[in-house]
Amino acid sequence: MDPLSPWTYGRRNVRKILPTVIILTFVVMLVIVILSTLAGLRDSTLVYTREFDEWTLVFPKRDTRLPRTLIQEIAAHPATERVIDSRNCFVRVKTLIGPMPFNLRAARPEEIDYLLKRVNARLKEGALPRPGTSEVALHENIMKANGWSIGREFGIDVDEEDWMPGRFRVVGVLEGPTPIGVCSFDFLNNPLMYAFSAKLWERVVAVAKPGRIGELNAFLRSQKDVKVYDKTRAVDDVVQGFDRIILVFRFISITLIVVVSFVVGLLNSIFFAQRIDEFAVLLAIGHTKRRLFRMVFGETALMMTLSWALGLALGLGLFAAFRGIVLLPRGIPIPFWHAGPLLVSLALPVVAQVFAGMTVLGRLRRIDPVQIIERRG
Amino acid sequence: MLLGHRLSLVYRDAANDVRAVDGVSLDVREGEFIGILGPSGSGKSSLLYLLAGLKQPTSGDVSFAGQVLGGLTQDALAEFRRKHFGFIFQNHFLINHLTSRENIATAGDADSAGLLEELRVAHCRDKFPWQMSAGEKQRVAIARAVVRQPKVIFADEPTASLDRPNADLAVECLRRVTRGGTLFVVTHDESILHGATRVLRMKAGRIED
Repeated sequence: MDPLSPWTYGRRNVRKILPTVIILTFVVMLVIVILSTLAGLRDSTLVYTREFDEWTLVFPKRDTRLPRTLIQEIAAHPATERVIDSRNCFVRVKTLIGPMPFNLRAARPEEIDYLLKRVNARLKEGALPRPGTSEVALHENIMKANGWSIGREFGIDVDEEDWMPGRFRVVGVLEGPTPIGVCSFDFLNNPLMYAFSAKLWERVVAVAKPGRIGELNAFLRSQKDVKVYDKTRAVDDVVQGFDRIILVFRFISITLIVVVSFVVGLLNSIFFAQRIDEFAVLLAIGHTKRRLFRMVFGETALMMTLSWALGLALGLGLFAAFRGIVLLPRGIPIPFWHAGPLLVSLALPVVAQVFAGMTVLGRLRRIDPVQIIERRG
Repeated sequence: MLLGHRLSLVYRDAANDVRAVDGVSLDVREGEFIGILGPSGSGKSSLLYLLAGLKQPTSGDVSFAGQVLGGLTQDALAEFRRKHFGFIFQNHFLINHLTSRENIATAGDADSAGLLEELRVAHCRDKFPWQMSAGEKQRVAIARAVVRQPKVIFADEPTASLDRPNADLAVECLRRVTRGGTLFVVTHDESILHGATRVLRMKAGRIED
């Protein structure tokens, strides 16, 4: 084996390379965990916009009622499959960044069946809400996030801090790829059953024919008298908040990468100074500066690769544990793999390598072996 | 074989020019053993480094086997040194994380087992420098210098950091393993130049007559 191979240097100088390896490993781990969690939270929140792949909500702009003619026009549009009368009902969902409202789809029984079918959701446990009752069925993620079980009641009548007037009761748990909640339209629309009914604004769920949601949305957005809440709007609501946080953490990550690269370059420079005799004698006995640069570059590359691999393994391990122990039991279905954090973490060894390489190259160019040999001699 | 023609080496020291080597010419034949003696600062090491191509002369040139060293690029000169020259310094300059065998292999991949035997350091084959005595380290450094059987060996005060018995042993070994190659030894200690074909005495950068 070549005595000047990076592997020989690495395994014989563990104590020397350990500080750099530890720093790099730690930073890679940090970048992976933080950015994967943030990217995951963003993706897991975007899950709640999936229902808008199938339908769009339409609200009145100035009045509490929608113009009848417009509802007829929407129903008659070639991209529309069905228009469902609905009302506003929501539950508070506990998220990592505080309570957020989650809208339920108020509909009649046959329409509830239809909506669930469109988003591949099904009843997992309990029952669907009976018409004219304050019963609701919620997706399992919402139930997990709030730590609820069937029979749980919510609303201002139950808890003054709640946001939804009245009293509602969970009677069923739904499952499927799209988080959804359903309740009775007949109940919310009847002032005799639900005292706040008159105050609730009208809304319709405009369900598109499969694959034609874009066409339907274009039509709805062209209408002056209504507000439209579609996929774009729902995604914007989620992304805006998260992108600001991700931007901040990306900035922190980039700063970390630059600082750590500088530290690694500095450490490399110190190691270089410690090994100056070695380089001087190798140059004197006929090794070229190019060969020495390749040797040191290889040693650094080995160190960077090792640190990145270790940091990646530790980061993913920690993230998997955080996801399994903290997030999933709380109904936050965060995905495990994210390309972004991996790419950002990869920038760390690459930038550090370039920085370290430049430092060594600069010093190697100036080195005079005779001067060093005479000084030590 | 090795020719130094009107070699000068001038350093700039504060405001003054210091002539470390001053117009030295030298013609060395194959197999010669040249001793270079002189007090500190007389320019003997500088002359050695000029002849070895480790320093560029301010004026004059060095040629070996017809090749002018000054005409070579840095990389080509390094390769040339690696191929034809061997070096021994006052300090052993062994690499600490390599064993004796590996240190020798940094000069070339020739078999060093017999050489270590001959230099009486076979038992140090797999030892690291920090596990060896000063004498053993210097003999391993000699092995590194001669392992590729270079045409010329340059030794700069090879015994200066050794006690007398170790110095004698190192010189004896050096003479034995040089095997007909040209040997330059810079030293303060004239006693180690026993058997030299020529002894050059230097003073103020010049060879004294």
